[in-house]
Amino acid sequence: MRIDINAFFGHWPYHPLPHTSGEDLLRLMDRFGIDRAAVASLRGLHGDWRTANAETLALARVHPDRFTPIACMSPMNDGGAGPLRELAAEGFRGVRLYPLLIQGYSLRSPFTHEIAAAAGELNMMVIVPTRPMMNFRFPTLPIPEIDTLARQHPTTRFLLSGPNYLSEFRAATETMADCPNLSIEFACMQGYGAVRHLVEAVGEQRVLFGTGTVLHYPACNVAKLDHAGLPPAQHQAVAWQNAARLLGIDAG
Amino acid sequence: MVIDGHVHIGTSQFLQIDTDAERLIAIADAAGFARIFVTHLTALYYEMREGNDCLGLDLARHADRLLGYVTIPTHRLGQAACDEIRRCVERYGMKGVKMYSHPESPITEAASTGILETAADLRLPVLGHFTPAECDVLMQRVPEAIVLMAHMGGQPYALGNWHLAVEVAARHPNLYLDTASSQIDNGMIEYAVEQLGPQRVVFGTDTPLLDPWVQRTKIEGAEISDEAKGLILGGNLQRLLGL
Repeated sequence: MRIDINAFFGHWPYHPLPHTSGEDLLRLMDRFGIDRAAVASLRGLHGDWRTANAETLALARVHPDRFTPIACMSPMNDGGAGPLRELAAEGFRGVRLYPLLIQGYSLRSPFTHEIAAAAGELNMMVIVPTRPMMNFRFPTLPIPEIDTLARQHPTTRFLLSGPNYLSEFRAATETMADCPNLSIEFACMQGYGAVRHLVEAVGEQRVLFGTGTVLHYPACNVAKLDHAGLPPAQHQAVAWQNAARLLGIDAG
Repeated sequence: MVIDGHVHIGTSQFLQIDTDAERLIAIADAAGFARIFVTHLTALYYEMREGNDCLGLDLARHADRLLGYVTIPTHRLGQAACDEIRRCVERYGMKGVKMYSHPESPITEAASTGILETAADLRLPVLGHFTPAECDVLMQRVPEAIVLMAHMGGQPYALGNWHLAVEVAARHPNLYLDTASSQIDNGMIEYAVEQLGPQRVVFGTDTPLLDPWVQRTKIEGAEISDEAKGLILGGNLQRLLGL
C-alpha cells in the first residue's frame, strides 16, 4: 500500500507536462503501484484557488477510493478561515500554502496565522512547500520561517514539503526537532539514503511518501522508498500509515 | 551492461561526502551497475595531481569495475592541466576528463580551449559541470571535443533548464547530456530522446551525493523504448569509450 501525500493534476506555466488530467494521474498511479493520492489542482498555485478547489473536489468525488482532496488558498479572493471551514465541510483534508515562492505574502502575515489556527480547529493538515517542485529555477522558502509558524500553532499539523539535500536536509531535521507538530514528505529530497537518514533523524512517524506527480516522475520516489532499506514496520508507516493518519482516512 | 557515468570518490566537506572505492563498488553492486566512471573529490576541490594519483591507485585495484576521469579543478591551470591529462592517461589509463565551471571562474575563459583540445586529441569525453550556454560557446570553439553536459541543465547555475540543454545539444553533434540530477521533472528524458535521439543521452547518478536508484528509475520508468533505455544506461558510454 502506498499513499502519495504530494500529487497534482493540471498545467504548468513553465513547460508542457506529458500528463495533465486527473485520469492521467490515475494511470500513472496504477502503473507505479500508488493506491491513493492526496491531490490538488495546479491551478491553485498560480490561478484562482476557488476554481482549483472545485476541480479538485470534482475529481475526488469521481474517484473517492483513490483521491483525497487538498485545497489551495491565498489571501487573494477573500481567502481566510471562513472559506477554509467550507472546504473542510466539503471533504478537503488539507490546505497548501505558497507564500513567498509564488503568491507574494509572508508566512508571518495575518492570513497565514488565520489559516493555521483554523486548520488546527478543523483538523486539517497545512502543507508548506519550500519549493513548488524539484527544479533549480525556483527560489526556496527559508525553513526557519516554518519553524516560527509551527511553534506558534502547536496543535496544528504541518507538513514540510520540498527540502532537498545537504543544508536543506539539516535545516529540515533541525526544525523538526523543535516542532513535534511538523512532518515531512520527501518528493524533492534526492540525497543518497535520504529516506533512511530522515527516519533516523526524526522517527518513522513523521516521514511521508510523496512524489510530486504530475510535475515529477512518480517512479523515482517509489524507488527511493523501496530501496531505503527500512524494516517492514517503518516502511509501512512511511508508505501509507502516516498519510492515512494525517488525512484522517481509513485506508487499511 | 549498466554504466554509471557520474560518480565521486574521496572527501568533500562541501558535498558532505567521504567515500572510498569499496563503498562505491558495494553501492554499484546493489544498484546493478557493472562499471562506474569516477572522479576524485580531492582533484576537484583541492589539488589535481594528488587526487588523480589517489584515483589511479583505486583504478589499479579495481580495473574491472572502475573507470577514471582525470579531474581538473580549474581550467586556469592551463598547460599544467593538459599535461596532467596526458600523464593520467599514460600512467593510469584514465578514460575521460572531469571539469567544473563556477560563475566567478567560468569555463568560457580562453584557458579552457587547450584543455578541451587535449581531450579531443586523446578522444576522451569531458564530463563538464557546465551550463547549456557555456556548452554552446565551448562547442563552437572546439567542435571535435566530446562533452557530456553534467546534469543536462538540472543544476543551480543552469537554473534547471533542461529545455535549453536539449536545444544546445541539438546544435552540436558531439555534445551529450548526462542525466544525473536532483531534478526528476516528468518528461525530461522523453523530451531529450525525442529531440536528440537516445544516442546523445548518457546515464549518470552523482553517487554518493544523489540516490542511484532514483537516478536509474528516471531512465527505466521513462516512456521510451527498451532499446533507448539500453543505450542511455550503458550502450552510449560503451561506444564512446570503446569498451
